[in-house]
Amino acid sequence: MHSNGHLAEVTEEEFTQDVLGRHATTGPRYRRLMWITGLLFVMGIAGFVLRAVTSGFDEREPWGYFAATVAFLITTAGAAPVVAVALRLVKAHWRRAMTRIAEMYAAVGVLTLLMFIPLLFLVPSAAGRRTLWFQDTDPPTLGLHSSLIIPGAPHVWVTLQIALFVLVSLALLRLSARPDMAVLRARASGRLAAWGRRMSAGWLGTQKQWTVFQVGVGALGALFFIMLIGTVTLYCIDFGMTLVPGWRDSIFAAQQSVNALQGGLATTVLTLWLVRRYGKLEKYIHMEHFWGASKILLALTLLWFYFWWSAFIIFWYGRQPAEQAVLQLLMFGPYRYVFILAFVFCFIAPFLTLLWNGVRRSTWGPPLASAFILIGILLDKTRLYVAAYSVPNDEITAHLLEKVPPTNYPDIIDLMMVVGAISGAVFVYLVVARVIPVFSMWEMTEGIRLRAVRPFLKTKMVVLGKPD
Amino acid sequence: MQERVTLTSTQINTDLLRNVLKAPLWYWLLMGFLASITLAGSIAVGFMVNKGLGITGLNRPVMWGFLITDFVFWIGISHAGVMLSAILRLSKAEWRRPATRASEVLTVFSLMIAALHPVIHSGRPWRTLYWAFPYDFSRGIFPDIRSPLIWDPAAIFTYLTGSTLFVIVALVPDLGVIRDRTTGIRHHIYSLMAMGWRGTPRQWKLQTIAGFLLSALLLPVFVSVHSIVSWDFAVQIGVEGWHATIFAPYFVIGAVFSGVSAVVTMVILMRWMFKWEAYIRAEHVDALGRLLIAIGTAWLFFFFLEFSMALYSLEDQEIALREMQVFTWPYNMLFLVFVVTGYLFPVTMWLFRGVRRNLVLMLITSLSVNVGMWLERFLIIIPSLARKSPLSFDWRSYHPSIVEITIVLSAFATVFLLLLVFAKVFPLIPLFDVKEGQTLADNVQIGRKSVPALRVEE
Repeated sequence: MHSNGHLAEVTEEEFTQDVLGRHATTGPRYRRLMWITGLLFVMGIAGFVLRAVTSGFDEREPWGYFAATVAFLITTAGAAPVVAVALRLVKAHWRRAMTRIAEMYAAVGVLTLLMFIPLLFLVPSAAGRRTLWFQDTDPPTLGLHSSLIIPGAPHVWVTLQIALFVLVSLALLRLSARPDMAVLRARASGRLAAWGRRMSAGWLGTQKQWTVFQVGVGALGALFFIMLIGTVTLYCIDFGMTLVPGWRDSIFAAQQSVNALQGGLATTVLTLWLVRRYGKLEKYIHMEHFWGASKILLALTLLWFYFWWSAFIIFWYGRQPAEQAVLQLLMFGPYRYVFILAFVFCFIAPFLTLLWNGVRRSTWGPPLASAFILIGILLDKTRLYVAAYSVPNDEITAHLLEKVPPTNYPDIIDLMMVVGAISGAVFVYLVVARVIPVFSMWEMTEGIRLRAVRPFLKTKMVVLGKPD
Repeated sequence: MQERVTLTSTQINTDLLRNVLKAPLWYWLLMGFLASITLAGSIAVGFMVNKGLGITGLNRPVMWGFLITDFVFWIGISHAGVMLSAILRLSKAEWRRPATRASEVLTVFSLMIAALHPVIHSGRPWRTLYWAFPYDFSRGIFPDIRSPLIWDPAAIFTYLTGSTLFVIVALVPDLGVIRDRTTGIRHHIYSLMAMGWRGTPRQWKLQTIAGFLLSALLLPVFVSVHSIVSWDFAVQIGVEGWHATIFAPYFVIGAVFSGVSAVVTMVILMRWMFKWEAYIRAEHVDALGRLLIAIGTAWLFFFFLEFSMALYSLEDQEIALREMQVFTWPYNMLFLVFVVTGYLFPVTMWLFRGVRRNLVLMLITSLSVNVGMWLERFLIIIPSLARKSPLSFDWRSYHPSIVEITIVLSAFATVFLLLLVFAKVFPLIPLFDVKEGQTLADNVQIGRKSVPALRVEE
């Protein structure tokens, strides 16, 4: 037993048998959870239908909470695979137990994409207002046409971006699961074996296949990262910032991107804890996984504050009417309590939790901080998008928000949609976890091979292989 | 591919202390050459102080010119130290070992040089004292503490103090080694500096804790320094192009990009000058190259956001400024050089493994980044001031005078000179760190293949 509390030696065979055994059966508690989240998801769909029937798509205000939920899902579940991508890139040994747990969130992207479609009817075209899709001034200063806007902007391009993002994340999941599917094909029975046969796509584990596989996972990972940043950037600008006249915040997209990294990691850490706790997988998920993740989580939490402060201080010092109106709308006015709570949950609570080495080096501290962060992100998206969606249509082309709209409180339909969408995401994840092993078996096996415990002077040390 | 080299402690001591114990002739010649440029710079400063700022190219409304550009540039270079040393130390990256000391020392010297620039730029250096420090209460002269210009000295001197401590803490074990290999007056001086280092378990423990603590404490300071420098610009609303929320992280990431590139330049020169082929290997430069791809691309994202948000504003003045930066001579030429040398050329090259492992190409590309990053600062400062805006009554361009050019060139020579002086007194590669790396190296056998491995504490 090591000081971090985990058993050093598990053979490859023991590990594979154990994981396959667990994967072949579904416990009653798991089924119950699937039923509950499935029903809540149906309730969310009902809420969506009710909202569409009662409010239509002419006004944005009734859809503020829906837009915030889409942003929440992109920032958390959508971003979770980045944990696998980044940790593979830096070859962190402690990643192995959590890569698949993170990657499986790719499947939630399908739900996010479907939820995004109604928002297209709510956002006006780029013409006549500030958008990211360049529009020259009148008279033109660059000698270009006075209303140069890229055709289809923003709708076509943002849809394309999000669709590609979902496609890339699914491709990443599909590819990285391929060797494990071959294990299912070879060692499982019945439908699971048939599924493995289909998904392994002729995987034999030859040297050439492994080389192509490694290059593919690396390239798709890099593409996923670019797609994630692109999606967060376009969504937050085109479906958030541009809807508020006078809101010109060049750091906003970068801030939201950092928030996505924070949200993705928090989602993974919390899921890791749930899998460990309720899947009884203490044997494979150790304190070192939470410890490694907690240091990055702490850094991202500090970055959240830094980006927020960098924007705030410029608005505060600038004191121009447009800046004051934006501060009033998003921080000091109708959404001040939501902002304060978001600030507490996104920064103060996780910071004070993760500050302590003892807490970071525990199996409960990082998940607790992650839970804080997820609550904070939901609140933060609420104050940003609900506020942005409450600006009336006829004011959207102005250069300044003349009148700050009042607070848009959620009604029962909003709550149905928010709870339903989050439950839907959990439901999709639970379904996927039944068809793809929750551990990246090839990475875990590789980890077992690369690890040894050897005597060193008067003690024993862990020796970790670092291949190129 | 890892190119492990097995070295004995004696060999490490001999190789890394060679220059400290007996410097070759070329070393002294190079020192003399750099000292003469530094002297020329000092004369230029003296001349400027004597004659006044009229002899520079500064004018209304371009009140900030080459010296402030250079100030921002050297602050940027100083970010190399903490970025590499502290972050890589905290993350226990193995390839950090030969580059940590060099980057820490580069931080200290570039910060010292950076801090001199605004003082020289003021034209009356002695006056900066009461602009920055609250001492003249009797005459009712107080610095305006709401101004980032006042936060600057506080941040810079905090960073300088912290970085110096960081260097000293990491130097102590090596000073013990030098102490034991010198005689006479040098032995006494090194004994004093080694502060009784014996390498006992307790001393090692304290040294490690101090290193980790300083790493963690310096990280927020390092971020704050360049953020505050950026706020010198961004909190103003009177100058087009400066009032942007992204400026703080944009400056920080730009600084890290140029700082790490400077470290690449430096380690390659160190390898050639001191024949440290066994210590600074292609794998180290390769790792730095991969890190630079990530940092450079992050910088590009911030650059894209900064530029596109200027167009997003739909304000005539803002768009006209961008038009000036991109389309008007000579800024268009500088802009093109900046984009090509700052990102397109180096990052495209680094995508190829062969380039990352070729020291000549890495030297060229790392230098290219810093040409680009220097121009970036120039293009942020000068066109914004030179353009006619609602708050300026004049509209002129800026041409640096020979005095300013001399001062800027001598700043580069001075930093290089200080590094050489340091290399004569202290080892530029930490001996204890390299030895630790040798001790922790191991191998894992997988089938017939032996995989390089590392002993780790858990």
